[in-house]
Amino acid sequence: MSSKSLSFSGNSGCGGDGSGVRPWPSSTSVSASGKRIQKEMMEFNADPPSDCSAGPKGNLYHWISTIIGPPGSPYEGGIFFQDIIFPCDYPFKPPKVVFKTRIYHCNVGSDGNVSLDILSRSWSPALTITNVLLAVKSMFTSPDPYNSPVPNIARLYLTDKAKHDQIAAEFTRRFAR
Amino acid sequence: MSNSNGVDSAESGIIQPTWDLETIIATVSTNPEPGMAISALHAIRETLANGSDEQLDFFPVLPVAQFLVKSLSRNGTFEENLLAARGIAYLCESLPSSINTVVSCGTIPAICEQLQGMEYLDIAEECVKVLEKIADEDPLSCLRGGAVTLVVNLIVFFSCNIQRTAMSMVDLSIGSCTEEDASLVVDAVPTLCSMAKHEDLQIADCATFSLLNLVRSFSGSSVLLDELCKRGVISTSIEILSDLFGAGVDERCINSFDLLTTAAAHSLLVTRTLLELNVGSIIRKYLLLIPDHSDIGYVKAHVFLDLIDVIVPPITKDAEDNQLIFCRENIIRDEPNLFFQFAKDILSALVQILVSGAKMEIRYGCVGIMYNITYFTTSDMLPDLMKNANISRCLANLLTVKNCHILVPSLKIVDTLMTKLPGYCLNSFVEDGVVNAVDELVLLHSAFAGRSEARLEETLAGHAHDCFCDVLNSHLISSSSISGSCRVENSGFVELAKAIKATYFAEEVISNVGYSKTIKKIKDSCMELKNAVDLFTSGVFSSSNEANLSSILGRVMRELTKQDSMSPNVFVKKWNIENSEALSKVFAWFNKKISKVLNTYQKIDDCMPNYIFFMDGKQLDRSLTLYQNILQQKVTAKTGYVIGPEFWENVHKVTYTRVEELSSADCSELCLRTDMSHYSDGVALLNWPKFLQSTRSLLNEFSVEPEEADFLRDVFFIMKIFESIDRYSFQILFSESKKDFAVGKVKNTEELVKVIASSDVQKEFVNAKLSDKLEQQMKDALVMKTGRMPSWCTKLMTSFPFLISFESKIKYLFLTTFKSSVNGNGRPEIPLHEIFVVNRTNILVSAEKMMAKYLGSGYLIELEYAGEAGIGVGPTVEFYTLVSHEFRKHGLGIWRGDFTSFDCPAISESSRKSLDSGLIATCAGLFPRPFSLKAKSKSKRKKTSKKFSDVINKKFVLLGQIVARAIMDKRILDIPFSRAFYKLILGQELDMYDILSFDPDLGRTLLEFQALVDRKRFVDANAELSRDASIFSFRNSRIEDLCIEFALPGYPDYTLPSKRNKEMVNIDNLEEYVSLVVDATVKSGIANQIEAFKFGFNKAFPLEALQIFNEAELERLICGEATHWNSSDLQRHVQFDHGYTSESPQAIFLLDIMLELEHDQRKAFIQFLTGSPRLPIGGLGGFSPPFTVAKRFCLNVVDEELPSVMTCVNYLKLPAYSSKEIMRQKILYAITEGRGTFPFS
Repeated sequence: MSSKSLSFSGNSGCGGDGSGVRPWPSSTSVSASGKRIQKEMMEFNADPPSDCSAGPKGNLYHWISTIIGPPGSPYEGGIFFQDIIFPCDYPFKPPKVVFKTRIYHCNVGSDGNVSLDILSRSWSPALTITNVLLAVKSMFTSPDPYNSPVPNIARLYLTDKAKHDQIAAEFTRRFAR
Repeated sequence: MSNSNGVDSAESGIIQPTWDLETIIATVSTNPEPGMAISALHAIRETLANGSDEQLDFFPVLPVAQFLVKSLSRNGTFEENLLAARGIAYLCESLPSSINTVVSCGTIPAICEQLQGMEYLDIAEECVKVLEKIADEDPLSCLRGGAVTLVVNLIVFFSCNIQRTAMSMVDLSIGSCTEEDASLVVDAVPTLCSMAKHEDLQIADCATFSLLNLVRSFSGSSVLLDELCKRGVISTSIEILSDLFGAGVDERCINSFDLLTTAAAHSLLVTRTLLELNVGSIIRKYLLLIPDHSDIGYVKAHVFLDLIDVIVPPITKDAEDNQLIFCRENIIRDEPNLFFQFAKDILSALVQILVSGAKMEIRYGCVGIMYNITYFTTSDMLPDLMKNANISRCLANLLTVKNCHILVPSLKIVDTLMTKLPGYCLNSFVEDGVVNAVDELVLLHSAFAGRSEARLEETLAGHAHDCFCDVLNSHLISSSSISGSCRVENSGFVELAKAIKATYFAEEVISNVGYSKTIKKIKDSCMELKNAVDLFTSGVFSSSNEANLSSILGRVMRELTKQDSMSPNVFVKKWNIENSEALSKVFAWFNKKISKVLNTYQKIDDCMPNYIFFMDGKQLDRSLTLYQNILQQKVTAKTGYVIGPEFWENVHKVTYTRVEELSSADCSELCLRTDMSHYSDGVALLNWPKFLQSTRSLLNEFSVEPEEADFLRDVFFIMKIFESIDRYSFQILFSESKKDFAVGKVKNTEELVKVIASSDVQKEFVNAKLSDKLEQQMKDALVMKTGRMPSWCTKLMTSFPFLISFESKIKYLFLTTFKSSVNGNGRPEIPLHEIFVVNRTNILVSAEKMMAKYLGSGYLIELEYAGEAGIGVGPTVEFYTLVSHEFRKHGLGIWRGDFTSFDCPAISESSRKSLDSGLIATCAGLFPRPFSLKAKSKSKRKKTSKKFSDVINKKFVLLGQIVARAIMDKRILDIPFSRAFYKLILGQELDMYDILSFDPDLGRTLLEFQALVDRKRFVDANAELSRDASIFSFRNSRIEDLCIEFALPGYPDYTLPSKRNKEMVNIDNLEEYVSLVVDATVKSGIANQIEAFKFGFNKAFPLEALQIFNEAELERLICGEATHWNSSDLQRHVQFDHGYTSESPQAIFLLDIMLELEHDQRKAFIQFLTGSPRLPIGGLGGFSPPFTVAKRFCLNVVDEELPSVMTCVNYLKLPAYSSKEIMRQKILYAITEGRGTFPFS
């Protein structure tokens, strides 16, 4: 085998028209999940949850969403942006939610990745993006310190909630307004 | 000597022939001028050094000696003394016969006087030389003159060379030392001790030997020995032994053991000190060398054993030694903790030797010692001891040895243990088959009762030369009998066995032991089962028979779990939760039966059923020995043949040929595996007839009695069923609850997938006894040579591999497939080496070239990287790691999850590039991505598709080759294949359940869909049921609402072979959708890739050879152990050497740091050390040579140096850092930065 054929790095994967370098035989349709995502978009637009907005950002598989910090929480008054990325085997795999706005929260990793049960083990194809956003929203008011990628914040939340809230509010003030 | 020239020239004129020396001396003595004396001394030296033979013959020894001594002792000048000393040295050397004269002239006192003064080193050194000469001839006068102590006291001031001379002098003098001379040498002992630890081997050897001699000479007096002990002889010897360990068993080591044995034999204080110094752990280390090193003959082995024998007094009391033995026993009684530690160390080592199949003589010694130790242990120590070393299993093993020398002490041990701790021992004895073995012995006797006594003796006692009574009597203590006569009566053991059986193992006692009741119940059920099975196999295959079988099995299980309302699947559930209890009961019973079989077929493994032997063209009678065969031929050829010398001189050539396997068709049927294609009926469909067939055929090999065979068949049969149930427990459980869901008992699909974590009970199936048996079979010379195992082994391995331990399986694989035996020390015979140059920038191309060149060859491939100096094992190991990583990289396009699932348009090109360098992150393991050959309509696409599939297949061919070669060369790959992929390698069919193992999300959803399909089927079949849409809902939404396209999730390019493409999935086409997705994911979608893998693999060796392993074992074989270690692993397997001991602070830092490393850091550490990020098979202990840490000597500031490694020998060179923190920093730096090249090694 020549080195040329070995250095071949098949940009494997599904879908994705438009990138001409792809030697992969690809279908004309975006992906098998396209229809499902379109349906979800329509459903979301018809009945969006309060304080939330979401929509594709130039590409059906890459959405951008915003959630307004719920009143009574240290995140009150903040506007939080997220990227939502759909895998190509959606809805068999959960979408990925990444905070673009900095936030002090025990379920949001330093890279912005959200760790929620329904986005990993408890995912099921019956869930939709609306369910996901509602779950993220309820995360603001009731964090889950026992399932946290940032143990420091979780520990502070459990031991000294006042201090935790103070820091979270400070973050909200500085980054989310 | 500034003026020596002048003196010489002045004297040269007046030097006279020898006879004038007398004159000169006379002149000098009357005329005491210093100048004269010096010239006289020069003259003497000249004559001695250069004189002719004639001159020397008439040398006036006496006057010269007197003169020299006088010059030495007189308070003369430095030069005079030096020349005199040198003169004596010359005299002694040139005329050895003169030494006596020299001594009689009072040389020794004179020398001692000089040494005492110790004014000049030169003189002292000359004196030492003189003393050495004298000691050679007349050691006693040297000793008695008090020279030994003087020299030893001064020894540290001498140069190394002189130290050697001094030590040899001390050695010689002490050699003749007697008890009266004790006061003369005792003071020298501490220095001797420190000399024995000297770096210079010659000095250390000499000092050790002196100490040994000293101990030997004092062996008559315990007071003197005590004195020696107080002065550190014993502790020194212990230190030497622990330092020497690892360097092999050499002279010095044997001497040290000898010393300890002799001392301990005669002094109680020594015995106590030894126990206090924890001598057990040291003896243990040495003992454990025996199983792995066949070159340690029984002479060396007995050096170790003797020491134990001395510390633990024998039980048979002899009148003369009573006193000493009494005191010894007291020590043991007074210091129970010390003795416990000792017994713990020794017993476990003994057990390991005994089960390893060491030489008979060694085993005899071990059993004797074991008996002594058990005799002295108290009943509260025993449980711990027996837990630590599996004594009962070892005993069961020993009791099958047909040799009364082994049998008698073994039976005595059983007796002793039963007296001390009846309850505990009885349990483990029943479990491990000791009881059964004793039964067998008694039965054996009654079987022979009718025949001649001689026959019995022949069978059991072996031949006369097999008597080992003399082996262990090198010390007076134990040799009470006249050597040469056998102390063990041949039939004595039968009486002993009978007595033991009558006293302890009466039927009613045994049946009261916990699980025996259960066993009895199973036994009964088995009878029933057997009857049913007979009906089943002989008659028609009707479903009612099948149901009957199922119900009986159900009953067996019920009884096992002692709950009346227990259906098979509940049993499985329970099994998973508390797997050990029920299992151990079955296994105890099983073990018992197996031991029985093993006893029975002991006779068949002596001959190889697969071979016929020929001598001089005639077939040999296999029932006779070779000798008998030859003799028979001679006798038939010529009547009245007398065995003369020529009989022994003739060389007989024996040839063998393999017998063609008659029942090959039979064998192939054995390979039939459990067919679990239909789970719907749970247990009932485990493929019973096939089990039965394979069991039968295996039992035929064992040639057991018919009624025995039936029973055993049941045992194997049930084991097989249990094993299958265990493997398929998830499927069985799920199918049960799926059925519940279908009929509406369970409402939600969510309820279904509360996944039961499958427990790893596979190792519970391993039968130690069978494994041992197999190992022994593999040590057979003929088997090792030919790599052919008797057919019972082959059948056992194909049908019941789960009974054999992983370690034995590896040996079996190497023996049968590569015809190379494997022992603990890696490759026994190193095949030819081939060096292959690898280009680091293009690993896969290099790998491909390498495989093309060497794949099937027996060469051991060694690698070097272009442009780097490193060569040998390290780079080779690293190469396999690098290849593994190439295969794991993103962008290869062969695995699921390549680019992760987020490889969608959403990810920009730039972020994708950053992924390119990374490895596929997968928690569930790699599995091939599906790929269809049927491309879509356009012909252009078809072409690319074809081309692409070639590329993929080539990759899999290469992967197969790499995996095969890695197994052959015992290299380790760093590729996390998924369980399902291992199943494919093992040739198993995958199904929907296996998707869970590599894609849990998809797998779970598909299982739920399948449950819905089943419910729909059920509802359709029963028209009266309501067809309300809600009953078909998936987690509260309709299938249609999920809006899933009829396509393979994640792989839209894959064309599902259905007309429904582009439809949406709904409840009506769900069934087809699920089956097509499953087919694409684990069957047809990956079939080509797997074929390619197998094709590549088979080029090296047949893939089927791996089928003796299960998935977990295969993973261990290919990928090595996980990087897991705990502190006891570290203590046991990390060795410190060359400047470190395990007590050094740096050693403690290192072990602490190793414990504290994170998972990834551990991987990096192991990679730094060995080149591969995984531990070898066997974990930390699997390194060969062992992982060793040595001190790195630094020229600069120690704390700025870095550690370095020699990857080929697993050697870590660690500078002696001043603190743990610094060491951690440096190690972390080294393991993270030092990777990837071999610039230094």
